[in-house]
Amino acid sequence: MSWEETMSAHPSPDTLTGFLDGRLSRSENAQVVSHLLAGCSSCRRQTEAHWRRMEEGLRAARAKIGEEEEGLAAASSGLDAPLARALETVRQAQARLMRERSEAPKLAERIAAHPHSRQVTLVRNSRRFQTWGLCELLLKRSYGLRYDNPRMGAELAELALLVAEVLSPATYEASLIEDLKGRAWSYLANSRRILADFRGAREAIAEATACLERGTGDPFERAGLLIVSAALDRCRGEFLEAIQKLDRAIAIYRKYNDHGQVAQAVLDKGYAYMRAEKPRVAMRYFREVLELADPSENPQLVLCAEHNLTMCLNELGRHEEAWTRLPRLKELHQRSSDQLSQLRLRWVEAQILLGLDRADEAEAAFREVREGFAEEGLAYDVALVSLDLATIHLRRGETADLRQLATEVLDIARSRSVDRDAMAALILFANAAKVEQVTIGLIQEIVAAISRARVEGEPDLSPERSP
Amino acid sequence: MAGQSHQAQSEALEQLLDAVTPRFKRILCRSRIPEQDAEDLVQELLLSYISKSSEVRDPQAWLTAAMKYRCLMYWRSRRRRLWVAVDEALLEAMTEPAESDADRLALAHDFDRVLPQIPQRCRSLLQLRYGLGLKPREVARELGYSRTSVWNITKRCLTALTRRLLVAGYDELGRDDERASVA
Repeated sequence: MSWEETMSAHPSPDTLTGFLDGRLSRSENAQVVSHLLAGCSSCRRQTEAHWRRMEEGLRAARAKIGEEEEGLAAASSGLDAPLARALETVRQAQARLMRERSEAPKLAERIAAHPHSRQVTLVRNSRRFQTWGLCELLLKRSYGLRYDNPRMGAELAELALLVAEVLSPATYEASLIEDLKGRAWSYLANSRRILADFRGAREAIAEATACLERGTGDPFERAGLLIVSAALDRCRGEFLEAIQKLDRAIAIYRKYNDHGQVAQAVLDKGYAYMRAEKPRVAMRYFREVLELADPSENPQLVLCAEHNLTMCLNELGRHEEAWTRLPRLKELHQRSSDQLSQLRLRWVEAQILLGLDRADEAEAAFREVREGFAEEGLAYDVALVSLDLATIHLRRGETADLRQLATEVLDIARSRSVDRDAMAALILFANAAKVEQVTIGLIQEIVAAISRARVEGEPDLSPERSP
Repeated sequence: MAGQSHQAQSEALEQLLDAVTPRFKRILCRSRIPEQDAEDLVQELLLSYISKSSEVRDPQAWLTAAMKYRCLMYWRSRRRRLWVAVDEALLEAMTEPAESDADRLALAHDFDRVLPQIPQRCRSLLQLRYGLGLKPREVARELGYSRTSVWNITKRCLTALTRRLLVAGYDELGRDDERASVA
């Protein structure tokens, strides 16, 4: 087509509007672009108004709503009817959702009575089980079990995903269904992470991301996925990536004025720094959590922050300061009925006692904690406490006790099939103990190796962590 | 909202809607959202809210932030559609086998005329993309950008190009006037 032909072949007003609204086919778009590129000023006059409106809209959407804007409401009378229609649809949807939420517990009970394969059949074939309310409840239960029974948590998340996949777009908005699926995948990712199935967790995160891209684009959902993804990065020792994701999540929660979620994400950030062996930086974030979190609303969050802060102080040699925080920490732990939580409290106390050179008291506490962890089958934690005990024996020159300790730890580790690197470290420790070559430096290296292996080995059951 | 009776929940929702509706109108108005699209935006947002209302601590703040975000994304996605259309058209016309060399030459000529009107830092990038048909990672290598940043820069350059086509086109000494003066 010659330049003259290009310029004379003006797109019709409808076509031009179609181009601006994104309704044309690729070939139609190409013709319009070619025409505009040739420099048609009359068509440009039509497109300019649209582009300017878009730029104004973008600027306004980014700006804060000031007091002087209050009068704008009067200019919006044209929105009355559309908004009224939207609100009516929402009222009906809410009524339906309330009904479904009331019915969900009974449906969940019915479905739980069947084996997994039958559950799948029921969800696929019976419309009674294809409700948002049921999916929501399954996800809530999955989340609640994520630490106590992560395998069951994963199964519930999978079932919730199945329900989400069969929800009818005729009943629920398609984009909202995608968000719900994204959430189900992210809960599944979290359960898999806790079960140390990191590849499965990554796959689930990829699925969640794809669902959210097809969804409403709700940043709140994206923030939730960022938190889960950051936890996985942390478990894999990718601390910088974890912190970057947490920063993005925090920015989103701040925009939504959700202090609770901000506090949770800041706690995770502090924990990532702790794992990265940067206690001084970590402490900053734990203190921030204590300022943000409401103890009456979220006692677990406050407990975690206080616990971790105390640990960091002790790690930095500020034992006296850590000791002064202990009564408050005990008070917080007392409200938790979790046995593991009590053991971890006693462990922190033992470490502070050791720092304060109260070795006899520290030893008694370490033994108590070690026995507790052994009963729970937590081999990594048994190893770590044993290494704390080893420090005491080493300082006292109790080489026979050191040898015996090393042998015991190795036996426990073998019986629990710990990670290869952790096992290698413990064998090294045992060999060094046999020839009386154990040093503080060696103990510290082995603690670091076990801690790294622990991150990727046992289910992460420590109360210091989230989500 | 968990644990409340249905009536209490409905009443709570009505109170919330009464409180946020005027604010929604202001945001939608300021953001120049067309009325026919405003209904969909508000509906989707509120449906999303009621599905997660038990997790939301400050509903008014949440809804205000969410509505502003939706308005922002509304225009961003429309802008994106436009530059994607421009990009696809140029890629197809200038880098893929054409039916007519004359058409391709004409398009290349028009493109070269637009290029000086685009920010300097975008010219090389767009020339490599359309003139030589290089992929983003190849462009990144040529220009010394990282692979992660080159796509963001490309998007900004495509936005600048699209803006030029839709808003500024040519200056007063553009082709229209040239033709007239030659004749």
